[in-house]
Amino acid sequence: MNRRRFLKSMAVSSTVAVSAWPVRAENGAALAQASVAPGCKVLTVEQAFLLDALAEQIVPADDFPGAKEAGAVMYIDRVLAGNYGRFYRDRYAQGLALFDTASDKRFGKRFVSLNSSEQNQLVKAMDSGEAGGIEGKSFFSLLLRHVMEGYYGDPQHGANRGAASWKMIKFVG
Amino acid sequence: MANQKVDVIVVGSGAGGGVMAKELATAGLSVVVFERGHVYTTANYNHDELESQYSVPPAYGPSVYDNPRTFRYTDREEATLSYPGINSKYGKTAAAVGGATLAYGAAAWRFKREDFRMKSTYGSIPGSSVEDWPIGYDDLEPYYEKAEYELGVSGLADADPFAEPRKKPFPLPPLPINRQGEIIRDAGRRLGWHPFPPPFAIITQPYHGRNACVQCSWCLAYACEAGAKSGTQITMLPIALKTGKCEVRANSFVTRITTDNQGRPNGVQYFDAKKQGHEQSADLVVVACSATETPRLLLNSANKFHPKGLGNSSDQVGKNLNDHTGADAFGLFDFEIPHDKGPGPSIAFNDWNHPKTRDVVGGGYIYNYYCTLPIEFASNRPPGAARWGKEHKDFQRKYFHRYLHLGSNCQAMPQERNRVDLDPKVRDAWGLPVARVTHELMELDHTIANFVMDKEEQLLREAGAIRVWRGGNGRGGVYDHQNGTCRMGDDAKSSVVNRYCQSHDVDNLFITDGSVLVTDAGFNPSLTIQAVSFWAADYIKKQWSGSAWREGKKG
Repeated sequence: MNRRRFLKSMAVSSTVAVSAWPVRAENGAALAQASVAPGCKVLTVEQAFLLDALAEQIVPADDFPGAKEAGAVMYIDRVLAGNYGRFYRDRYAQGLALFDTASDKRFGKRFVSLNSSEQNQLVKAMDSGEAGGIEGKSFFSLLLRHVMEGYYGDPQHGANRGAASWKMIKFVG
Repeated sequence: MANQKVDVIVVGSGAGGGVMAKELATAGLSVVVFERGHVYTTANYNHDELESQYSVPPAYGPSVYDNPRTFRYTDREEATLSYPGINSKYGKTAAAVGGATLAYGAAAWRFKREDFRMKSTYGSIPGSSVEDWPIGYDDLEPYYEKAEYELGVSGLADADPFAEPRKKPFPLPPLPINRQGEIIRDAGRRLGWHPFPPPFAIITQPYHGRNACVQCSWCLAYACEAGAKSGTQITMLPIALKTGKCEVRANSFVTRITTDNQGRPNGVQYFDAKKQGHEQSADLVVVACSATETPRLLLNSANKFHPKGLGNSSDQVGKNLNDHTGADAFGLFDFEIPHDKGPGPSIAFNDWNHPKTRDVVGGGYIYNYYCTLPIEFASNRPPGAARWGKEHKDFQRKYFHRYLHLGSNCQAMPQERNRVDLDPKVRDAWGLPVARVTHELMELDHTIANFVMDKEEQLLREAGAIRVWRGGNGRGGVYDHQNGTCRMGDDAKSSVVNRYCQSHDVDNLFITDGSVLVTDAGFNPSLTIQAVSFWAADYIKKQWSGSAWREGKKG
């Protein structure tokens, strides 16, 4: 996506799922993949792209935003950088790596390079334990919890932008 | 802080401790209340699922890293480390001024007559240490009434045909019925059951200078900014403080009860917020720190006079740790059920709590649950339904307002093997051995919960649910309703305190929290803990005038 289309998609809030962390698509490739992602404290660029893709599988965009656009990466980064992050940081580092290992094994590609249907297939396999064993299954449960917390939680935590999910389910608080 | 000797130290400011502080201070005794948690004010209260008592970290303490515990199902396994909110086996009880009552659900039940006479009613139960209480419903009735009137309990007298007789009506009318309540009321009637509005320590009209409930959706696990929920921080402690005889020492963690050269308690050692050590002397010590922390404090207070722990000549301190099983059932509907009025529960049934048929041991009341919140709903799906993806999102959208959650607190059987003791290795931030919790449910506990869930599913189907499923209980673990670790009894060999919550071993030590409950009931315990605390306070006040406990004179 070039910058012009990127801005356009932001403006109309379309069904195209844009990332909520301030990556610029036209120079994303130039960012060092191992450096900390823009706007984040813990997640690397590489991890943030991967989490974007996973979040979009967990809550995909339709006429309401998906978890990627709603800010899942920002929420998870806050959790990892927060006072209790030490309980989760290693699990995220290992768990995210498992996704790429499994993806490479099955498709010969990184997870972010798979098409949506391949990604969906791999997430299902991770969820069932088939792709990453007990470790992968357990990490996916944690990830699922965090994505749901962010997406359906209070917008102040960064992953329910514009309270979109609350509008969707008509939650008035 | 200068150590000026006081009459009474109360350790813990929750349900039991708050009552004790208020009763003794208003009787003219000087009291220091120790509370390890903070003072929270409405500035700290919020409506946010990620900042509730059930979140990580729990909004109202205890602080996560300072307060580990260890947990194991049985003593055949190694206990594993757990932290508040991080490991689900760590109880959710707040550490705050007001204790758990700061953010509780405020259900305010009287136990039934049978609940005090479980062994007589059902006989011995293999594997269980079930016993009768040394006191009964009639002993506590005046104290239940006192608790209801001082807290401001809302409810409707005579609406529950299975309730024990009461001398006075509830001080306040019940919470108004909501749409969920209407649906299960009508369905229940069609089944021949007996619906009624459940009692809550939530005021429904202005009462004692406090404002009425505004019926928001954020109740259980949230502190009440309206001031309608009757936690001790807004009911008991302000009255105690107003006497000028009581001090609440927050952020102060009591590590040991000290004794004199005859082995009688004479004060406590504690750390302040800066982890500086201090001592406080008193003639009488009341412990009310919850069924986990109370036995821990007594065991950590072992000395040459009390080698097994203070008040533990019976070796019963910490044993018989018990908690309710949950019995939840969920229904989906093809019509809208608006979340129109909080806190949520507005109809209950007691038909399956000690049913006359006796086809179950104990049982539990059934009620429509607290208002469902978005994250909570996202994590609850019927078996086989998608837990993520497009299908999950569609479900969330379609059913958030077509959903009904029934809940219950089912009686579980006490077992001696379930216990709190001191972990041999793990220490907390103050260097003290932490509580090691050993807890595993027995088969009968699951049977009782399944019995109640069968009834809930029946009710949901009658109400027109198109899909029904149930929750479950894991292998073990204790949560908000923990009890039983310093049981009361007439026999000093088999119980920790007598009928007045007084230690069998040392006469100037009392315990007034969930620890003294001999058995739990199919009801939330807070009103009973408070009635028992009023009862024990009455005894202390009567005995005090003879100054039996003063200056170490043996009573």
